[in-house]
Amino acid sequence: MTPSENIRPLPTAFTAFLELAVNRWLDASEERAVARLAGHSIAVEVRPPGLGLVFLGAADRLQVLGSLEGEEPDVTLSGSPVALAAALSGGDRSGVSVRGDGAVLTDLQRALAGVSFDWAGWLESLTGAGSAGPLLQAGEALRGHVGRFMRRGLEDTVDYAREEARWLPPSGEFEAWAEDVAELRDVTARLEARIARLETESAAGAPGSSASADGPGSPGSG
Amino acid sequence: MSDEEERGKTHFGYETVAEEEKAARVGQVFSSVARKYDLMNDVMSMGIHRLWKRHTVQRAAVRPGMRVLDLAGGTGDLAAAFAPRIGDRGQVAICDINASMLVAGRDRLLDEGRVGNIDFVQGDAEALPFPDEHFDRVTIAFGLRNVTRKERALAEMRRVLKAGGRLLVLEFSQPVAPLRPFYDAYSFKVMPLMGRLIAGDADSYRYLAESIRMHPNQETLAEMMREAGLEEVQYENLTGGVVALHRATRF
Repeated sequence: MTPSENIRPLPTAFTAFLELAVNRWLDASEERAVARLAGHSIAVEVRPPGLGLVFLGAADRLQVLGSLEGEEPDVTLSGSPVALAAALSGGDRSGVSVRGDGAVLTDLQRALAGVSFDWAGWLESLTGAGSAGPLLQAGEALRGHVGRFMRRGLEDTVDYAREEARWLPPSGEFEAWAEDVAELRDVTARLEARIARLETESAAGAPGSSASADGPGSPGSG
Repeated sequence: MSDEEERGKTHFGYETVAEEEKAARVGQVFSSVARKYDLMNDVMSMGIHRLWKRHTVQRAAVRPGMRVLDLAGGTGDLAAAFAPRIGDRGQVAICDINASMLVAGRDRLLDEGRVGNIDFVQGDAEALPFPDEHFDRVTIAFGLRNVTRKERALAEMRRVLKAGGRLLVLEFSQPVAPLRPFYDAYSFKVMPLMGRLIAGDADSYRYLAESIRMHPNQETLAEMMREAGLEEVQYENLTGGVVALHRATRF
């Protein structure tokens, strides 16, 4: 792949570490799901900050490369880090742009989904028996902090856009405006129906019109 | 090719020797260092050679079922990385002119349980014993500078590559200017000393340092690859140009 403009490949030291982590994760995945990725390539463009990496299925692992030279990846995903994480882990592709073969992306999502990874066992294999408890607790605490930070960040961003920058209408204003629009639409619809009925009645009462011969005001009637 | 080479002379480190003599003398060097080659690589590069090779494997981007030729493959670092990635349907051929290096590589890979899709071939890079258009990837790591006629070797690498196949040459090169004084001191003082202490052979490591200086720089090698008929030639410096990874495609 020739990386898209402004996309820098991740350095080898980082992709090597990532490959280790991803494959450690996939070890707990269904073997067939990983095997389906063999020979396929999935490029990921993280914007911002404009970094790229490629997952390339090998016979025994999912390779993580900085870029793929001289060939187009089967599928390219582009989006923010949060949107990409949601797309790869949860299957929510709403925030990412997908170019290429979506079936390959589905295979990757299947491989990544439903993995029950034994973090405690893995940590203890690295740091020794009994060490996993405090580390996992610290990890849970960190995850809680990050979750709260993300929620607060979203709320603060909405407040800023609404109250300071005035990019969004104040709370309640949009709803009131939407109700007014709905009411106006109903009133207009009724008015239009009324006018149409009046036009019909007017046409029916006009002298010399085709409707007048049989209409209620015609000379031969009644 | 220089006038000297045209008259059948070439470099062996800083010495000028007859072309037919170089292969034998390089053979002596590698026979001498084969047993402790991996250890010396780790010590002298402070382990960085693993990252350079890892980067080469990444750039190769191999897939299951591919055929890979690891030229001057010696102790099999690259082959050990390629073999599991290409799987049972693929094939890695380690080709080295030096039997001692091949034996060291074969023993090591057998000890690691890497068997089945790896072949060991003793052969000359200037006359490869493989059919035309046979491999998807050809790699040569820290081997090209020891080849007597590099132009012939590059042409042979092109010949055995399939259309669309890629060549990757990992080799010592010319570091950026600020690094050169330190690099020279390290190469000519520290390397032979460590060679003497660890492998008991200072001369061989002095040759390795000298051969690096005599190897074409980045641009010259890129031009040689183009002249050999390879296309999309590009290179990247690693560790400030101490090593360069040249890549090219055969169409």
